[in-house]
Amino acid sequence: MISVTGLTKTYGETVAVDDLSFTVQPGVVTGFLGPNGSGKSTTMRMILGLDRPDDGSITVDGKAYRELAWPLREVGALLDAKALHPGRSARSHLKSLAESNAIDTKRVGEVLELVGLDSVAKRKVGKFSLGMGQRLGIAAALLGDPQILLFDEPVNGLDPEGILWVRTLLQDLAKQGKTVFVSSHLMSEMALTASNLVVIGRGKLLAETTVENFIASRTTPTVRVSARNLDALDAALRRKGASTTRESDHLLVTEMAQEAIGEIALDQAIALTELTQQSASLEEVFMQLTAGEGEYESGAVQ
Amino acid sequence: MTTSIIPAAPLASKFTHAVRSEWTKIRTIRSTWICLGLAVLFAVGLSILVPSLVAHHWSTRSLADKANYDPTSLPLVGVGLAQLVIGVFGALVITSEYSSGAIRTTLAAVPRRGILLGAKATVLGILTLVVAELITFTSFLVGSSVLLASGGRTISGNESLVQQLTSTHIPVATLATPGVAVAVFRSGLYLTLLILIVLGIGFIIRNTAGTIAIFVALILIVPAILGALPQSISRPIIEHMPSSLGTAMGSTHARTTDYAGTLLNPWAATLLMVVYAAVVLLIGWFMLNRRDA
Repeated sequence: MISVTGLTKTYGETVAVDDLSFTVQPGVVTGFLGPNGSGKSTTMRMILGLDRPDDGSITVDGKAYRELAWPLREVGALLDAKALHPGRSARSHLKSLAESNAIDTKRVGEVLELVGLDSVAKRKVGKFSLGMGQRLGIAAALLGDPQILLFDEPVNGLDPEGILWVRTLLQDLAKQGKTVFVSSHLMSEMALTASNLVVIGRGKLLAETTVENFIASRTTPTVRVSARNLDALDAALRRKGASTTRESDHLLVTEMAQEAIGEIALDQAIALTELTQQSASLEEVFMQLTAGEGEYESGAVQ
Repeated sequence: MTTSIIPAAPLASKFTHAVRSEWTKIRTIRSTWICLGLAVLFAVGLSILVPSLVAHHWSTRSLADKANYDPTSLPLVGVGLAQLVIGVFGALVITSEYSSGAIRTTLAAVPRRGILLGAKATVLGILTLVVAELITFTSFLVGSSVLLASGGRTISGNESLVQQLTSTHIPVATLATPGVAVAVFRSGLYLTLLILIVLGIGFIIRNTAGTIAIFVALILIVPAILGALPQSISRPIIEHMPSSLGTAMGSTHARTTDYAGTLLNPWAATLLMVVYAAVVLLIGWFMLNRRDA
């Protein structure tokens, strides 16, 4: 479990993380969402004791990171896949990490095989592609078989097969009872991978909930319906208490379930050409929630 | 909530594992062996070249030159060149971690800053000591062989200054000459302490170009500028600067003279280098502890 309490960090005039508190539970994948520049990476660096908070505290399994006996055996992290010496081979890099934390060096071969890099283990990591670098970073995180895992944007640079592999891996790790904390600015990816969410914008906590609740609490269930005689259907639905919005060739109906709409259409002998439950995507909810919270906002094209 | 099953680790155990890790890191980078190989090559090369020139011109040298002549220091002349390569190596060991970002991976694995800095200094210090002693003893043996081959004559070490001044053959020391073997050893120790100073500067500056610039200024530029000032001002400063301490450590003379003035007693010079290295590394540790990685 990771507990963050009242975490604050400023760089000069910029407040990167502002009184942030949340906990990350074991056994599930927790997504850490926020636009670019919202403080995700800064928070992750502070969890690993790399940056010092100005205020607040972080504990991993009840202890400060610097106090862990063998940190790599308790917390595995992928922060920046390129944060390694380009002149060293993948195997030597992992061997040095294993030795620093009294991890059996047999694990080096095991994790290289696990991430599919065993054939390039002797190649210099400077020659690795972004995707290979990510795999090596994941191998390093898994080296000490830790109970807590942090991944900062792990699917960056991966091909579709690699993305699927990471998604499955994260869920498998969570199923083993591990604490899995994954940051991303890609909501669609988190919708598929995570069960819990910690959402931040401009360093502040915006939401800490499950993916389901996050969507349900912030969207109104909407049904999209079309018919040959759209005007008659619109009038009938309104009479029965639904709110409708007329679009070019269909209606968006709220405050009425899909089933009820079908029955009304049958009563009125109106043939439906479409009747679909609209589910708001995590993306849309996130965009609404973080509107104006990004560090850089793009304007409309003139 | 998961309970930690990792047993507590004593600091000594953390330190030995950090040392093992740093040793793997330093030996698996090609630039380590390129730098150390170049240092050996430069030192031995210069220790062939300069003694042969000095021996050739011995008979025509002034009395002052002959009085300043130190048969131990001359074959070690290549150490002066080797120290530049050694310094660059010492800088790269830490600044390459900062330029690549690898320092964050390192600190996540070894979050106790003192242990990390201590392990790095230990590995770098021992590796450099071994190579530096190879450099100084090889340079000395090669350099004094060149002197003998150029008409030099072996001394017993009990000769008076007058004998040295009037000798028609350039005096040559051997490792058996009193005080010589230990001076050659001290010269290797100088390179080791110097690289630890550079390592400390690297931890403070965290940037390759900046660290090397400060090192070169310390070894070459500042002594040259001070040399242009009146001796009453420059001499006390120069004799306490690392490059002069290096000359003093590689000398048998209790108090010999250099181009710019006097040198400290060899053991006092050694002690001062130890103090410099300790102070710079302590500042480096202090800043490593306080700053964000």
